[in-house]
Amino acid sequence: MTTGHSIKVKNATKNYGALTALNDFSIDIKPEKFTVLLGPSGSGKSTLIRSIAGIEKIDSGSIFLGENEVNRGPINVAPEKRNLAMVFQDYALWPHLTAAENVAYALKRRKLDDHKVGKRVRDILERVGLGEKGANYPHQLSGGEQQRVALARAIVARPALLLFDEPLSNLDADLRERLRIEIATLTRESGATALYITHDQSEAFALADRIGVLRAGGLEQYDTPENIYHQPSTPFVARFTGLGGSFTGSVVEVVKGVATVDLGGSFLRARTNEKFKKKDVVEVLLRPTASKFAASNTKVGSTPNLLAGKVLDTAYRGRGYEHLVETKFGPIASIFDLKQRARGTNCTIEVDIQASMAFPATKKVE
Amino acid sequence: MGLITIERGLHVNFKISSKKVAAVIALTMSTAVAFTTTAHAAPETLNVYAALDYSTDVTKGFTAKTGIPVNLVALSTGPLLAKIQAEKNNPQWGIYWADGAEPCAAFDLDKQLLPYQAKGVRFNAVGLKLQPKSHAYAVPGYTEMVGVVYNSAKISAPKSWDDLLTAGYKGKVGMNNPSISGPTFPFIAGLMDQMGGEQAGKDYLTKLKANGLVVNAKNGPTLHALEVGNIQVALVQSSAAINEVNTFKAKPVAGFSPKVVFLSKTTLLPSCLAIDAHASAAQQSASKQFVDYVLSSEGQDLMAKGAPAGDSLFWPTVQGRSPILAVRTASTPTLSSGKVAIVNPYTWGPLQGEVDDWFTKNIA
Amino acid sequence: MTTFEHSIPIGARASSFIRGKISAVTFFWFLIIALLVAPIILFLSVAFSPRLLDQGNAWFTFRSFRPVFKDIFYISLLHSVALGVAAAFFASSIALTVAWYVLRTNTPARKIWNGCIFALLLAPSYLIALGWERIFERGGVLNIFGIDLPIVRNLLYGPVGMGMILTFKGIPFAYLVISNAMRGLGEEFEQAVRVHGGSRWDAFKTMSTLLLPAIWSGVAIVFAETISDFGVASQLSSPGRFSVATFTLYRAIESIPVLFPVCAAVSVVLLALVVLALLAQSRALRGRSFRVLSGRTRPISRQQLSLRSKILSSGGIIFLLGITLGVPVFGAISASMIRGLGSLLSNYSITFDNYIRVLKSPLLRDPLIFSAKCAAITACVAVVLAAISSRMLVSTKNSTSKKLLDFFLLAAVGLPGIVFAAGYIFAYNLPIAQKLGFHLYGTVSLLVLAYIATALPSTTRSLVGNMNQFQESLSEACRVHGSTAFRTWISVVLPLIARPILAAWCLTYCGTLLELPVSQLLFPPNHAPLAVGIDRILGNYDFGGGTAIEVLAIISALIVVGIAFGLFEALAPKGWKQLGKAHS
Repeated sequence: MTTGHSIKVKNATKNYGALTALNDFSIDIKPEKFTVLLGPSGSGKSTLIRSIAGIEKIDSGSIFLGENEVNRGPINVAPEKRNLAMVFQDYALWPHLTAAENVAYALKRRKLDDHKVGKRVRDILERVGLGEKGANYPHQLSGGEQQRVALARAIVARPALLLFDEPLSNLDADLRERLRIEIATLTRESGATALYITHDQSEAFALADRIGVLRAGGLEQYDTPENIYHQPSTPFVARFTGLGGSFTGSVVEVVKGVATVDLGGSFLRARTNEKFKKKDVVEVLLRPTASKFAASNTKVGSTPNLLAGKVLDTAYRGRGYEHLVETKFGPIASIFDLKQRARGTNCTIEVDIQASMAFPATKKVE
Repeated sequence: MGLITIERGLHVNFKISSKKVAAVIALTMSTAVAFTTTAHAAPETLNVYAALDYSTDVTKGFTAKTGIPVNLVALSTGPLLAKIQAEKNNPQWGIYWADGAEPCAAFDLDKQLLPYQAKGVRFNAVGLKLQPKSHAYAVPGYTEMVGVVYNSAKISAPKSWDDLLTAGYKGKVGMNNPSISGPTFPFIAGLMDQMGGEQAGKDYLTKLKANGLVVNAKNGPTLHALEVGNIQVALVQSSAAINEVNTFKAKPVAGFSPKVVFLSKTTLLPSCLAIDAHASAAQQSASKQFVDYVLSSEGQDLMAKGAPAGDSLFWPTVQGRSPILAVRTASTPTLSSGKVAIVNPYTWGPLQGEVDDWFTKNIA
Repeated sequence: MTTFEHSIPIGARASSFIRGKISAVTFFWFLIIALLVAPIILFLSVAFSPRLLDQGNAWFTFRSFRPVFKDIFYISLLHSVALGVAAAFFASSIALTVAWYVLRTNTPARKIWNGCIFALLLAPSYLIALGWERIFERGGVLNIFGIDLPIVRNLLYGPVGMGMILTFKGIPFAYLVISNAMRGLGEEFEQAVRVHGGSRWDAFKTMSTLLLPAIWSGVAIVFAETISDFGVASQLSSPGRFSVATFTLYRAIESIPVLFPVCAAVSVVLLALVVLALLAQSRALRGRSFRVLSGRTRPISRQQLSLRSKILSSGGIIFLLGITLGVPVFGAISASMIRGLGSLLSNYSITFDNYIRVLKSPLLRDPLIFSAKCAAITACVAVVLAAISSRMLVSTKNSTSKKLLDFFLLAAVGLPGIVFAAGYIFAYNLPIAQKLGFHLYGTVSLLVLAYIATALPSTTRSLVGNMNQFQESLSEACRVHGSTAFRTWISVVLPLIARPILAAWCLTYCGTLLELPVSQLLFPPNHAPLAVGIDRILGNYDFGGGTAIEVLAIISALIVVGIAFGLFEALAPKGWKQLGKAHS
């Protein structure tokens, strides 16, 4: 069992000319946890993970692995001295080495004898399901197999820190899921701290003990997946972690953490942590699971959380149908039903208060 | 700290170690080198810069006799002069030895030569005329420009320079290009001198060109043109001419029977031996001994043996010595016959650039 | 597992930590300055300040530029540029086409070509010129068949002939550079084009675009080599017919005394052309990424040609070999193996007399061994420095130091060899140098350093194409998995470009073995390199002997190349050899 590093980033800043990649970024990652950094492209997650790996330098600030400061401003401890490993988005397998040799390369720093190296390599390749393919060269392997070799290579030396740079982006959906499970299992088995970056929120939620949401070089929220999902601290976090619909309206009243919002004839009740005053303009953000079709004879009237709409589009998901419904105040997506509602059908949508959140309105569109 | 890119971050780390490899290699080399004072002459070693093929034998003989080691830089005249000029601010050479007096005249005008008169040397009549009065350089031997080689099987011997302008020789005469062939400029200077001046010489060459003159780069290509029959008369350095005749006497070929003749006047081409005025005292002392050696009978013997197909085909300037057999049998004009000319390198040397340019533009 | 022990000491300041890294960079630049910058700058300075190196009276003057400002010179300059562009264009086009046929198709002639490329590299220009002369002259080959072509003869001794020979000289280098890079291209790019409906020609165009850095590498070098040539120029033409910029330089060198300030002035102009070439190159490559070599690179399957295509392509390659290689071979035979008049019209017989004579001669054995040793050392060091330089040149950062390195590397090629060698004398014969204890002038070491400097530009550029293809994540993966920078180079970077490095080594060896101008000015006394001896023999009228030595030297070099490639095939790990390999 490995003991993982803790990672502490303090006020890291990195600029590429006029572009700010990291903006006074700080985060404190506990050891042996699986942390996922989630964010759109340009949010700085790649820069951060590469700086932690030591293959990129920050302009100012510090990074600590455990008790040791490994980055101070542009001073770097060399990557090979940090006892970590990394899985790259493009696999980065060395074309002139076989799969087994690729994996064995990572063991050189452990200075084991050949026999032990051979055994560990065989074991780990077996573990990722490539026991037969050790003698193949990368170009003889499929994309998924290559990524599994990359995973085996990262894990075989039992490093204290495992870094993942969007490793599943290049794989197809089915493979992605399978490999995600491999990653989760193997990492937890090894006991290393894991830092994983992705822009895919479902991947993040499935893998993480903690999620950090990044935007424009800064940390928006760092919490458990459940808290991020249920208690997003900013509209950006809410939007990025799954949005069914968003509406703008003005506050009527706030009672015990529930705001009633007038959309302009219809009313929505949504959770909020803000102390709104009457007539404050707010944004109500709905999770995809917030909306369902009300019973067909439900009248809308002025009952809150009921909206009249028309089905615009449906998508079959295997386990049922997701619908896009246009309401007077805007579209709502991902409304699930076992039955398919035809396009153009009129319907009533019921919105769950628990899965709706009200935030102060921002002028910017995220 | 300003812009630092990924690449640089990575590369700086790379550079330490991979450059260590290069560093180790280069450091080893330069350390080893910095401690060598090798071929950079210790005061006792004489540096000889020579463009004559027998210099190898002569320098070996010199070392055997005097015990003074010699660093021989043997090159053709062009690169040799370039090297000397490039070393100008810190000259390394002690002795310069090559055909043609114009470079030595130029050195002398630039005060780069140490005048020296070898002891106990008696020059023959030609030798006396070829040594400069200032003794800025010594002339241990000479060749002639030009030996006129003609294919006796196809054409008769020309009798004078004007003969070459006649119809019988139209399109059949070839010569070298003075821009490429060093010894050819003295030939042209000699023509100009005997015909009455630069313009007269130019007129002659223009007429020769009008009569179908073929110009090749150097002795080799000109003789090849003669051999294949592109030309029937070749104007080349006497040593080249004599060698050509000898080669085909030994191995005759049908239809090609070269003979050599010398027209009036033939210009003499001295080979010149000069001492560097800026060399150290020890270098200069060794240089003087070298000059003495070259003019001694031992040195002259080695000169005559060292390059039998080329440079050894020369006429000695030292009294009492004869040229080797092959040269003796060529019917050379004597000084007293009035058919040889000696051009003054001090007057003609500075004109070389302009004459070569003119030739290349108009004749080549 | 190991504990983590490395961290930045509390009190470390940026300066001390970076000092170690800075000194390594400084050392590399020190080498570059010693090898390239100092000799070049010193030489050019003589154009403005002849007195600085005792080459004239003035401490500062523009007088040396007078020949440069004459009308005739401008025309010559235009001629030089035209020749340079033409040679670069044709050499690269031919090289690209041949490389495509040899590496991407199953043309049967490909096996001969691979063997011949180094022979082409070694063929000296004088033999090429000689061969052509012997074919077209009166009494030459064509005459035997009753063909007399004065028009062609005239063309030969003018721009067409010069351009042709300079193109032929450029093809081997352009080919090596382009084929190195082509091996690093997997088939996915061409496949992508074909899958989207593109024809074979479209695939070829796409592939050429991806090879642009390599192509431009070759173009720049061929251009620089062409404008700096005056051996071919003086042999085949004269200022009356078709003058080039180097004639003025040549005249200055042949003057008595040698006029280095004028040489330097002309060199300044030549280097301005070099700058233009580099500007053109950076515009062409601006903003694109060529990083295509990775683990996902798939080996290509050779395109199967139809019978007709096979015949055409083989015929084309054999024809090309015939005129580029066959002609100098013919010249060599004619000069060294024909008893009699060297002419085929009269009685003649083949003889090996020259070769037998020369084998016993001291002019062959010792100089050949000496030159071979120097060439081998030069190749080893140059390849290491070139790998480092080429890596620096492909970094995406557009720094001044990168541009300077690029310039000085190309400047070394853009300057005629004799000028570059004179620069070395200026730099290393300085009185201060000796007072400081640098007794380098006149030693073998200096000769080898100069060889390295002369070889570095082409060797570097031959690797640039491959370095450009190299995906950064491959070396990043090494670092994050515990490998130091040095080990990364040894275990991943170099093996991936093992074949190009081998080709670069052979390129340098062949180029150095018979190198002339630097050898002439810098060889240590009593140790004449081979080319110096050959030049003297040829300068006298012993064509037979000189050519025989030259041919034997070329054969020895081909043997060395053969051994090098053979050792690689026999000893290199399987993984190294399969990069760039194709399925037939």
